[in-house]
Amino acid sequence: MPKPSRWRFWAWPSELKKAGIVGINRRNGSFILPVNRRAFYPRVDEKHITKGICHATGIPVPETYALIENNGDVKRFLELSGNRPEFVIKPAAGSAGRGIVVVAEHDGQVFVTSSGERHTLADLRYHISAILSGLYSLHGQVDLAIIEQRIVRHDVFANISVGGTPDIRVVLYRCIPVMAMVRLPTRASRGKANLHQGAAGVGVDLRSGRTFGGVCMDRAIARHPDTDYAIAGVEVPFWKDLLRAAMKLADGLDLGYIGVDFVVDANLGPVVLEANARPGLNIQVANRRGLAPRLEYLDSLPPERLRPDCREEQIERVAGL
Amino acid sequence: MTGKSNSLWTILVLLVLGIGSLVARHNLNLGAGDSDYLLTYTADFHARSALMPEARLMAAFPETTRYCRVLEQEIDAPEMDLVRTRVHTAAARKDIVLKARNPGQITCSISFRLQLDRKGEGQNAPDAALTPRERATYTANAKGMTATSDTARQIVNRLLDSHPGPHDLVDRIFREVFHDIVPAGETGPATGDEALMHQAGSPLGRAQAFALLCRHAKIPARLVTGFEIKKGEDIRPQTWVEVYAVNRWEPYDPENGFEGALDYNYLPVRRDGVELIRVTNSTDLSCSYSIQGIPPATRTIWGIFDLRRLPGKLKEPIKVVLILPIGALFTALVRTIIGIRTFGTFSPTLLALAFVYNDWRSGICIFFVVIATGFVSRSFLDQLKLLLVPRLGIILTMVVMLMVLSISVMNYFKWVPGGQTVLLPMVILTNLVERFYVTTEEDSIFQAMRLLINSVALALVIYLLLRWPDLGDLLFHYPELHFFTVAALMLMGRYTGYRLTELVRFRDLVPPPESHKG
Repeated sequence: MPKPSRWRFWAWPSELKKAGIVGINRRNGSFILPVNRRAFYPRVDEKHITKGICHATGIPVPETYALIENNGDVKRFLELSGNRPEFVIKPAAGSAGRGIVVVAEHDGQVFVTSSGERHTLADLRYHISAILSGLYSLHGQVDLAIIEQRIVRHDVFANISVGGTPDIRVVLYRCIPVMAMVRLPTRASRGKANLHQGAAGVGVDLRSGRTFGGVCMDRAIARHPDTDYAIAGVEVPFWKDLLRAAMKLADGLDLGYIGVDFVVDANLGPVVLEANARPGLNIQVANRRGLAPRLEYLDSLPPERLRPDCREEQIERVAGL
Repeated sequence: MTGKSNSLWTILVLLVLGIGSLVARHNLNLGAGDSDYLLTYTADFHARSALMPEARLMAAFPETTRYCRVLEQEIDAPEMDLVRTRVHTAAARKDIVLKARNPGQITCSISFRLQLDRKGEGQNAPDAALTPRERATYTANAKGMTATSDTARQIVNRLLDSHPGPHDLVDRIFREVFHDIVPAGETGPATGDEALMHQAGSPLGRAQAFALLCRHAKIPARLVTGFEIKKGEDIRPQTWVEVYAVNRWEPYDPENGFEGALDYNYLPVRRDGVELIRVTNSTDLSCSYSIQGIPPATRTIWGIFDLRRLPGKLKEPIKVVLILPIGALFTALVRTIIGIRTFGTFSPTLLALAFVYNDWRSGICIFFVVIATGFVSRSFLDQLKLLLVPRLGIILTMVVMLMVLSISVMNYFKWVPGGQTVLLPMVILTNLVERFYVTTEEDSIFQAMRLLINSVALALVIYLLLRWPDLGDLLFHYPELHFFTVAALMLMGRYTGYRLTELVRFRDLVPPPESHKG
């Protein structure tokens, strides 16, 4: 693994190119624009559509308790979602984890989130209304609020996450997984699993599902910044199932370049949280590897070598690049 | 890669269009001025006989200067034929020559469509060096201007006492004429000799006296007759003097006190002469002149592509609007090549546009006051749990109130130069306050500040672009340059290289050099 060189402030473009790093312009211009049809974006931008596709193709997702579509239902959201003891409220068209509230326990008046914050019922109703009015949606238009099952965190990441549930991001190109990482919530990220909010990203070997290396706030790390446990060498449970689900979802979405976010539920195994048509490039930092060789390799293949029965083989090859 | 080749073809087409229209504009010779004028000569005379030599009329042709161009001329002379447009190369003088078909009373008029440009973007033709013969002509005696007279000698000798250089001497003569020969109206002494003798003169008399004294001092001088271009019926031609003191002709007008340069709207028509219209073999010539302002839009259809014909008050806003795409170009550059993030894609450009119409310093002050106060009130509003649209409405109202209050405060303490109003785009500010707040909540105050500072910095840079007068003028004259803007944007749209910020962001991913491994 290349050792980060702390003495430098920038890299020359030729060096990045040699290291196979894909920049945002190249991601957008060379990989996303040619293979992601704009008309299909709502399939990933609106989570209830993604969930519908998952249901249809038998991919496990958190159970939807209620879909709040209008302000009239906001008052009754608890009843509509069946008075569950714990649940998650999220905007259907949210991005970057914005607007997600995870309620871990409540007594009908006071609601405690997974990160320990306390909210009143009025707070949550306001939050749902804000979601409906589009505060968290990608382009600010009217949105839906999803109330869904809270994931029971799998023990495997217990030592290396703080205040929230880690998720696993798999980036697929032409329906083949090309890179994966685990995103670990930290105190700085306030329980969110988003790298730009301060979560730690850890590369995952595509063949074994084992973590290696890591990055937090754009700097390389070997241990979790809060718990100080080593973040490398952790094996993501049900790895092969997870990759299969990711490929199935990519087929179902008909998008050529996507990121699929999973969480590992203690009971259900890997479930899909959401998919993203413009997955971030930090995954390269978490993996300390560039995406370019892998994407270019897949581009060089004839379509028949990308068929479902060839995919295992291609994952092996891609992981070695 | 059809996208790539299509883009390349489109870029090529845009370049061809851009160059083509620049060339076409050059060939069409579209005008260059703020207004058009119609200068009309009307001549009335009696042609004596149709025998050889037939009666002829010679009309002086207005000169093209850097301020004024003759777009076209129209001759309305049913009883006459055009002989030729004669060019006197020595004095750079042009005449229109007409001849009468039959004897008798003849009326004719000649109109010139003039375009005046206050900025003077054309070039004056450079003056050729005087030939010895010209030098002799312009220092010799002429009708009404006896350069060798005793009066002239006395005056010039007196002025020569401390051996001034040629420019100094011309200045002294000018002052002498300006102060010591009293203006006596149109009916006053009308020749240089008479003006010197009576110490008073008509405008022509004073101009001649000045030329005469220069000639006596062996400095070539000639009379120039032309017009001050302004609307009016029955305009009188004016006569001033051009002096060749060192190596170019410089205008002096004792009547209006111009020394070395005239106002832009002085149009020379005839050099070395007074009559603009002369006739041969005729009697009873009477001439009149008029100048009309005419709407330039009535010209050819191609005039549509010439923005310079637009009325003055439209020009400044149009110039600013024409620079806006450059703002977009710059925004694209900053975002896709440099990789700097801002609040909103074109918000900085629109902010910059607002600064253009205001004093930018007070604009910036108000901007930060509004953002800061708006932010504080937004934090307060958060506790009230209001829905998005009503909340934005409240923020907009607060932004408006704050802005009005700031304007009032600045006006009270007289901080705003010239009592300008400082109106920033309020809807943009409203969204900025909201997004700033949401960013501080969801990311960090640090991130929000960074985005805000990026946005303001970009706005200031674009503001400087918008305020760059040369750029505005250039685009105003050649709006087709935006074909190149689109081509550049298209090139940027195809750019898949790294953003500058990514060179920093991904720097740790570069493996150390081989030599360090061993």
